[in-house]
Amino acid sequence: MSVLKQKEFAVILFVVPLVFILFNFYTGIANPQATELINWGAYLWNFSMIIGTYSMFRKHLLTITEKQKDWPYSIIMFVSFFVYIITGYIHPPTFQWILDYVQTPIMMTIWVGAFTTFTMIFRGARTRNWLGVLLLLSTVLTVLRMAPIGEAIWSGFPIIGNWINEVPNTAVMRAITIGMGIGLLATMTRELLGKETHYLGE
Amino acid sequence: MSDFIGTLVFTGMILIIWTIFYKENPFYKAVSSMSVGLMLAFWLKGGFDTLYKDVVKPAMGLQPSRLAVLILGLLIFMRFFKGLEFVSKWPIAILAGVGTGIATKGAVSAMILSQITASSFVGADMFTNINNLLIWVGTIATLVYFLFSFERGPVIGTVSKVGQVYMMLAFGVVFGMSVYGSSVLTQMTYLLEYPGYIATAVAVLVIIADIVISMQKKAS
Amino acid sequence: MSGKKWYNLSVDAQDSLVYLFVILLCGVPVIHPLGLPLAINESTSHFYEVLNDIPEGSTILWNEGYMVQSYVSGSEIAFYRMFFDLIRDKDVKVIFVSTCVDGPLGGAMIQKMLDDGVDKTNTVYGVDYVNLGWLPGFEAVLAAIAQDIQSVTQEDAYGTPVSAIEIMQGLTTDDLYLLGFSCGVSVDPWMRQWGPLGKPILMVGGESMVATAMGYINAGTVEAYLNGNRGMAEFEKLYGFYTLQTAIMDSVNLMSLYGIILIVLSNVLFGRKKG
Repeated sequence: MSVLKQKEFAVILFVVPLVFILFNFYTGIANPQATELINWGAYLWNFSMIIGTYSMFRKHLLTITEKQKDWPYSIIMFVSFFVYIITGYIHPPTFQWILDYVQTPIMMTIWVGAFTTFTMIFRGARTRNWLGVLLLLSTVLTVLRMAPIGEAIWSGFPIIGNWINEVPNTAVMRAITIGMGIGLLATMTRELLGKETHYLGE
Repeated sequence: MSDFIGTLVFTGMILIIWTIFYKENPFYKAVSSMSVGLMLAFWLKGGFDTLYKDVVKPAMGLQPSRLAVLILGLLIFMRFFKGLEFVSKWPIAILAGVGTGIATKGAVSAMILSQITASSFVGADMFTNINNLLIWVGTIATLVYFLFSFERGPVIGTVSKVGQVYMMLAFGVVFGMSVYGSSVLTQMTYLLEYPGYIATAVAVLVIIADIVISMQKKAS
Repeated sequence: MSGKKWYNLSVDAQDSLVYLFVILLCGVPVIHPLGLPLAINESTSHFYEVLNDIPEGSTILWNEGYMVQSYVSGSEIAFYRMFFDLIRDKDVKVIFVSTCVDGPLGGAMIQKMLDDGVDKTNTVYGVDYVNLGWLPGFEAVLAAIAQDIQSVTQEDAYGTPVSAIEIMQGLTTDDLYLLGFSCGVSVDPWMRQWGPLGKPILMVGGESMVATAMGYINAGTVEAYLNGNRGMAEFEKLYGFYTLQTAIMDSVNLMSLYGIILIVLSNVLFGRKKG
């Protein structure tokens, strides 16, 4: 089997840029080359986004051609895509209008975050033990710290809430950050040793 | 005039999406599908523009490194050619290597060292010193909680219990922040002010009519 | 009589009630603003002071990445206006760029601020400020900025070669006095890429993001921050320019109380059910 077709060749292509970037970061040698390599990452990410878009298109095309469930909505998807991207190049004011009056309200509203937060509170903010009570107490104190009405009710709420944010919360976030940093290093080590090859689709 | 129609359309989009709270309907599904198309187009346009100005134009000027990355980027599409799929893995491997290198290089100093050195020195203010000590107790206790390789004996068990207490307080803060930050005032401003309230009034009438018709159907 | 209690509603009906109250409570301040006083937190004052204390002639970079809500409410107008005050009063240079994960909306936000939000009198594009637009790649672009600001793009947002833009000529990342960003997602990428530079970093973030960034704030990696909606409203009060962001505080007050009531109600109902 050709060397180029082997998995190890792709692993080498993974390891070399990784080691080079780390080498440059810690020694300062070959800055322009490392900078260019980092920019390559941004450009290749862009190309991979195009592949992702193609996969999405393929799925919707199949839905239309095979008349699967909800196929008319796939047509709407394609029409809105092509209208938007074409106006972007041939008539920028219309593109801007669609951005301001169509896309923006959709982006702002589609996740319905505010509503789901409150149903989540109503359904899930129930506790059976003292640890849960602590969590809910901390939630309430944080809300009263942040909302101006909390201070209007009692001036102690911001003081207690700030302490909880600056001491226990900071402690845990610090621990999580350290853990994530160590996790990143551990994952990098596994990838360097070739034990992780998720980027090859395995 | 454009603003008037635009604001009506803006309000209409909000109302159509909020109809999901009433019941699933084809208008909501249509807007959802449209949102996918719009987002894809928006992203792709930005991506194409960047690729053109930063990769294609320099590559056409025969700048070697941009020519190389253009070729590598096009190699990703080899996955669609039988027998050449292995070639598409090369640029992905390079991308993954660069991404890992970028993420890891800053991890040591920003995510580990700076966290360890912070609040590690005794100052003049006793209250601050006590707080720093409490922060360190919490940090170590939280880290111990996640050490699953060790048996939870009396010492590790107690320390991880302390970690749990700290974590409950911290997750309460994060939860509280998300509760606090939830508001739909921006949408309501459009729905209740001119000319949006025209669309709102129409939407309310439509929903009332739908409810009445459903009740009549049930009754009959 | 079945003896069915009023709160034995179906799940859908309960959810609908919850949504209805959200809509009603957010609608009240639109019709009748409450106008509760807003105290300025120390974090916001410190953010304002850091901006005010930027030395004359410095160059700063602002990375725009906040969410779509901000695009509509104009919550960032106040500190964009402050940037332009600094340009006029202290000859500060500003580089605007976006690596927003929401896509090109970040670039659109910068453009909207520059078009409608700020007073550009006595400032010259390319000399006093530059808009590099939205650059895809997120952390890779942040890393490129940290390596070499000249390398991030060949052209600005309007197609002018960066080499022809006066503010960018000879500029290196080392020359940047301060880096600032606004973001709604995790703060880690900025900390990983910009933290090691040792420069002051300003952060404007969503509430949940700031809560998770406390480790970096406490370590001093983040010099100053604005804490979400409240932080931006406080900044508007400090700066003296108000947008919908300040009005949002009214609805936030009501929603906060509503959230607390729901927590209590949820536990009371749960307790009664268990009993």
